[in-house]
Amino acid sequence: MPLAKLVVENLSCVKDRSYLFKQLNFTLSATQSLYVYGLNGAGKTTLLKMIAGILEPDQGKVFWDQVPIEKCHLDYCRQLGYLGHKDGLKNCLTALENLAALVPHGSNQPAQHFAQALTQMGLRDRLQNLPCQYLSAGQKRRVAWARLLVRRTTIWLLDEPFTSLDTQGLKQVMACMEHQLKIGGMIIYTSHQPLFSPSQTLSL
Amino acid sequence: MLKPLKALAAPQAFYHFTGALIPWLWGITVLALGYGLWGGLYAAPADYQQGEGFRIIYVHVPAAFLSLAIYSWMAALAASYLIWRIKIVEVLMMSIAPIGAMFTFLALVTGAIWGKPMWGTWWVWDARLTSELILLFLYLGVIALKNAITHPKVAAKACAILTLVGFIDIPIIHYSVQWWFTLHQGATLSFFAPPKIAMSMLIPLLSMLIGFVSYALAIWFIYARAKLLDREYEKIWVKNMLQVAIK
Amino acid sequence: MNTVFLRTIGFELLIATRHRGQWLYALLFCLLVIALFVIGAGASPEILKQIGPGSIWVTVILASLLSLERGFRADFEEGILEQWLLMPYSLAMLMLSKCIAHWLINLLPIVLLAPVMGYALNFEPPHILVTVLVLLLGTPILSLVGAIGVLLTLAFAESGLLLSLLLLPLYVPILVLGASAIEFSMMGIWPASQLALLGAILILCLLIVPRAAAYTLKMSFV
Repeated sequence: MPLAKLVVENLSCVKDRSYLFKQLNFTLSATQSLYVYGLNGAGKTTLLKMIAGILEPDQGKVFWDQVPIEKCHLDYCRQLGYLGHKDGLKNCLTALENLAALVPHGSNQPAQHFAQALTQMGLRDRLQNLPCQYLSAGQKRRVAWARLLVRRTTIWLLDEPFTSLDTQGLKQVMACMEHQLKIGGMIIYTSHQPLFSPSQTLSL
Repeated sequence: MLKPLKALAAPQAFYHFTGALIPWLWGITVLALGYGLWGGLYAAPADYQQGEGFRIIYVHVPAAFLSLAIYSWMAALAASYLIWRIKIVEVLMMSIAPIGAMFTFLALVTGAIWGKPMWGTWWVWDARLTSELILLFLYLGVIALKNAITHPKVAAKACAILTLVGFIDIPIIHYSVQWWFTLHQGATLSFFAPPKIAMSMLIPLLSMLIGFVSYALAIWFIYARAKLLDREYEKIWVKNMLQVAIK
Repeated sequence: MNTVFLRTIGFELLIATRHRGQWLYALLFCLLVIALFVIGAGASPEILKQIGPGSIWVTVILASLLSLERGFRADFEEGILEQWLLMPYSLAMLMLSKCIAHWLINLLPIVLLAPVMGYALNFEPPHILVTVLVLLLGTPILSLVGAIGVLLTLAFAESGLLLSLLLLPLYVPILVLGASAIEFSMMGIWPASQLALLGAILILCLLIVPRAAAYTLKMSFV
């Protein structure tokens, strides 16, 4: 795993004529995790989207491996896995098809690869071949997690990753997060429940 | 050259600079419109071909010219906003759209009024009038988009993109409609663009044009300043100014 | 990069097959509205000859407008477009694949069934040929420019009428070029200039629209 660092410098966000958050600074290295917490509407999702590059910060920059992310967009995206509020799944496609469609070079990978990831996340064969509209919210979340696992990226940005999951799902997800950190990845996550022990915390 | 412009891009400087300009613009408007209306409606002789009815061109031609000029200017503002993201440009671009729409509407109405004594109908699908109509819809589209999007930054960027797309389309619309309609209707309907115009008619026309331009600038600045105050109301200079006004 | 492009189109087509029969709606709309035009105008052969070219184009434009939202809005709301922003591919390429997929699903059936519509409007075979050619060149332009329109209203302004208000003025040249081409063929002239112009506009759109669409999409996320 690379030794590149994720550096956030002076990040600010303006919303409705006032600052949502102002001049945030932190650095994340391999095997580190950052827990962002705050009340509803504090800007946790906005912060995560700015780090992902979906939103442009009003002030400040995000650096990956000492390069601003706007300059190395494609490389940065290869290293980035994002689990957003919305699952990002096409309801009319099955879980397997969703993985093939939305994972980069997904169609090149063998189907067992995806099936394995889905099973690891607790989705059995029968459910894997059902269009996602027939799955429950928790099951859809598991599919989204499976997609994150399959991509094997260095950075994980997780927005409320624990929602909709039952206790077993939570255990699996936390095991995945620990594994990710062990192999040298880094995680930034937001949650209302402090279920994981992070190396750094940030309060908004 | 760029330094004074950059200084003007600061909201406060812009506010005070345009505030100082506005009375002068009103002065020019009154003088130019006054002379133009006297020269056009009273002093200039009647056109031998069209009689008194042609006098409407003193309102129609400047209005039509401004309708297109304002859209081009709006497109220039849109392009510079997308490239340089200057806040004041955003305010200027959004505030000029209704003014352009107003002049387009005026051009259409005066064009229709002109048509009545010529062809006996209140509306005729002349190529120029049809292009003006489409231009009005382009303006209305930008205004509608601005009203529909609640987030100010996204609204500004969306309107800028729409303006630019419309700008690229305008010459294509104009020439395609003109070509197509002259094919169908023949080249008889060319009263809207008199090829030669006598000097006695031209000077009042130019005066009307100047009057309309300074009027447009005056109301544009008034509107833009109001919008600017609304956007910057948190800032100290605005609060100080309003405090003084309340006192 | 090429395979990603084709595979993305492939998945869009797969999604279309999952919504049974929805691809037909635009086509059925066209047939219905042409019938309405004909009924409204009295259906005599001379009138059909006069209103035929214009009404077929107006119908196609309206059909493409109605089908545009479907291509983009569901993806936006399900979070797919958000994931697309983070794919290590050119967003412009992905947007182009979406436009092409929209055209293939909604407008290509109309182009293929244009002979039937032309026949219903009393077109002769040479006119029908011109109709098909001009629709083939013009409908992708409708998809491309329409994509920009939908993306402008994606995040905040869901209204089919607003979309029509934005896009219909922009479509006027396509209407003029398309209708005039068919009328020229009715007068016995081969509409070379219209076809050339439509081709030029299509190429211009293919070059500009993907980047513009990518920019517009990024702007919708707040």
